[in-house]
Amino acid sequence: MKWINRLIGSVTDKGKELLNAEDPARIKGKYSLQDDCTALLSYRGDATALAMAHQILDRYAASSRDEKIAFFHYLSSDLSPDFEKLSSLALALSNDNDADAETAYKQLQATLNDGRKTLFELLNIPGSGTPALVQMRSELLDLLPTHPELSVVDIDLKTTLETWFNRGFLEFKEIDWHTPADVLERLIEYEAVHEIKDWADLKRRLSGDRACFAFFHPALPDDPLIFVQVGFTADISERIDPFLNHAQPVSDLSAANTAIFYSISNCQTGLRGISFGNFLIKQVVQHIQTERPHIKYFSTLSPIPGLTRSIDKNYLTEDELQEIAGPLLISLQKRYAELSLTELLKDRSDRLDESHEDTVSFLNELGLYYLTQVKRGSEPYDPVARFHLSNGASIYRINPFGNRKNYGLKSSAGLMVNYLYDLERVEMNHEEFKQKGTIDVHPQLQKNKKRLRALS
Amino acid sequence: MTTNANQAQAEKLALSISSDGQFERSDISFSWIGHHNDETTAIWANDSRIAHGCITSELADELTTFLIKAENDSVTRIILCIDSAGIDLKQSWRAMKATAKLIKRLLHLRTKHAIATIAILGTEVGCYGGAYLLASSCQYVLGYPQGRSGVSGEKVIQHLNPSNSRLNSLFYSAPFRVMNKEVFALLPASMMQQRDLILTLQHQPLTQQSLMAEFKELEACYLEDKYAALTPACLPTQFPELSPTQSPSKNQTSKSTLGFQEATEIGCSELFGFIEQLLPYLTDHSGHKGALTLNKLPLIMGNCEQQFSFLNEQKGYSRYLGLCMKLLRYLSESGVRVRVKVNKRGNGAAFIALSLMADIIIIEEGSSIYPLPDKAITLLTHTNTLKGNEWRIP
Repeated sequence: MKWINRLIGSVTDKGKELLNAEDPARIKGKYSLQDDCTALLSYRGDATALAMAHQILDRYAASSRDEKIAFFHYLSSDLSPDFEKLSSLALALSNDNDADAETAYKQLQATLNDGRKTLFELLNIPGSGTPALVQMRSELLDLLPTHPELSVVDIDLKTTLETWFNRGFLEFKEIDWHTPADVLERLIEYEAVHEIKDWADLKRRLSGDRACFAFFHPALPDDPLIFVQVGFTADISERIDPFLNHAQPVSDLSAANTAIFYSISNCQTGLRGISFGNFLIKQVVQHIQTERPHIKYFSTLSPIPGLTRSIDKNYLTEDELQEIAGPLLISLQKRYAELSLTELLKDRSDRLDESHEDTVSFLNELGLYYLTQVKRGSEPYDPVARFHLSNGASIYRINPFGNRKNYGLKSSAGLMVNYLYDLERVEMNHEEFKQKGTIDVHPQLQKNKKRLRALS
Repeated sequence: MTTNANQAQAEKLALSISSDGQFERSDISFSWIGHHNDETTAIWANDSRIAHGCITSELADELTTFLIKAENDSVTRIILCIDSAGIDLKQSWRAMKATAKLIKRLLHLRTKHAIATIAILGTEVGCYGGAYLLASSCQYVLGYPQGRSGVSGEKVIQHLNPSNSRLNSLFYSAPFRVMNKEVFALLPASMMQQRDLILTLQHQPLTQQSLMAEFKELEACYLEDKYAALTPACLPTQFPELSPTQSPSKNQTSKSTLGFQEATEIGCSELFGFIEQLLPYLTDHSGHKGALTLNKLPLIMGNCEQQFSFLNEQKGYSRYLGLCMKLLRYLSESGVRVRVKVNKRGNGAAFIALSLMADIIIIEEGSSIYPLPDKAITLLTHTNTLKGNEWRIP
């Protein structure tokens, strides 16, 4: 790529010379960032446009927060598509004359892309344009809670990035200990589920009975978009501890029959909402089937990140929790006398007693109820459940004491869940979930599910 | 497989330099030699999972083998990744002797070979005692911003000389060690930047000039510390022997013995005084070689008991010890026999840095040599102190 970078550099330099000859004040940054953008939209020459785009991205990066807010407001108002024109073109589409409709359709497309979408395209200069725009969206997303009026800009920027980060452009790679250090450092930085403490921890997660796979994009060659960490085991794991303990001995890989996906992390905030995970998991499954044919089962060991939040928000009330407990309630009240179930789960989950059978049974039922009955629209409230179930996975098992680390207790009272990717059922499950909201639950949990459904 | 932080970090550094180097591993250390452009780099790292002092004679043997191989291969630089509480107290003087031998070898490499020696202080345990001395004998000491290091750990000093100052803990931080010049630089966060930084470090030979320059720097710090609380007017009367206008080293060559004749706990001041005693042997005042034209130094009285205080840590104790080591070994490497006689007691890093730097060491019957004072050994190992009469002349 070096020669092409040099070529682009020389074209940019030439563009700067042309710009300077045309209007020296422009190259000296005498105009506002917004003026530069308006000017860029009017340029026709590639060299000058390239030089101008460079200048805009540099100026944007160096801008203060307030200047960036002003810039986004400019994008939302001044560079908005012409809605009146869009409306009349849409009407023209209903014209009986096919030739007219075709012309109207072309114009509709062009009008829709006029303004900020065209600007984003022009700013996508080779080498640095895509990362700069991903960063720009990350900053825009930060501003949205306080500036919701900028959401229109996000819609256009997101759809633009969606096109650029289409599945066809993603590069699938296995990451191992020999992967360059700068890429590995990104894993340490981006791991969102189970923190990677140091190099020893990372090394353990990349060697022997573990593996890591990621998607990359040519525009961000050393920066993964998403990665998944996998452990190879002899059964479907119910606890996260062995995967996070870097002193855990390496197990016999030939005895393994299961791939456990125990952590999946998106890396780029600026690509939030653009889904890669479903593709990645399916690609990893295919890869493992080819490279390690003795692996027969594919399951996750997933957090349940919305559980205590749903209690906090009263999506699961004390009454409901007591109903879920059913006949176990008396035993639970006796065991945790001074606490309500809400308090116990939300604030004192460290007191949950693993040796108390009724506690284990209650947590099992609670986990299943939460995942299958607490909904956002027609889909589960829990974001991780939504993700895996919409990919076609089934709920295989609830693991009441799967993660007793502080963050596990805080987010889900220590509960974890296995989502099983049964390759013969994935497509059917996906269709059923998307069309009817049906959640596939493993037969051994079905009996509980029926009782819990009756409760809901 | 290495699963400790120090070795994993060192291993990744090695792979970042070159993917086709040669690794050698044992249960307690690993080493690597690889090529990058026209240079050869050798890396060694100890196992940082051992929380107590890990420097044993066995580890020292492995490191010695590595250093000899690096020397034979004429490598460009040696990187020692040291993450250790120091010597194994249960091995007592055996580990002290092994540490001294390693220091001698590192200083030999610096004096006689164009090999850059670099110490990277680990973060799992930190770097203390004999391990810190080992690091201090390298040309460059690099630390991680979160790293902790010192000649004597907080726990030991607090046990022997309790102090309530909230600042005590600060002295062990890497940024503080950079400030008082015990650590050359902090490592950047990115491994690739670490690699790039390390690959720029070149050999700086140990010479008469470099030692004098180091002394001048240390002298400036020493005087600054010494007179910090005094007005300039009172200097000559209170500390005539240290007046900046007067050379403290004059006429020292006429002494028949150097060192510390009676048991005085050795802190920065005592070390500075000893360094001043040594300097005339490095060079006379006309700028010519001093003892280098002779073949021996006066006998050094090597009773050397370490002073355990936070003040020493604050002042950069390892710099004083380091310069002692370098001076003694430079003289030795220049052909001057360094003889030390111990007739009473010796302990700690100070004993390693002074007494054990000798070519000929005479330990009198009945002397006691301990890695730490009895009280500290009992605290740390829960065993009785090994007796000094186990000492044997190498």
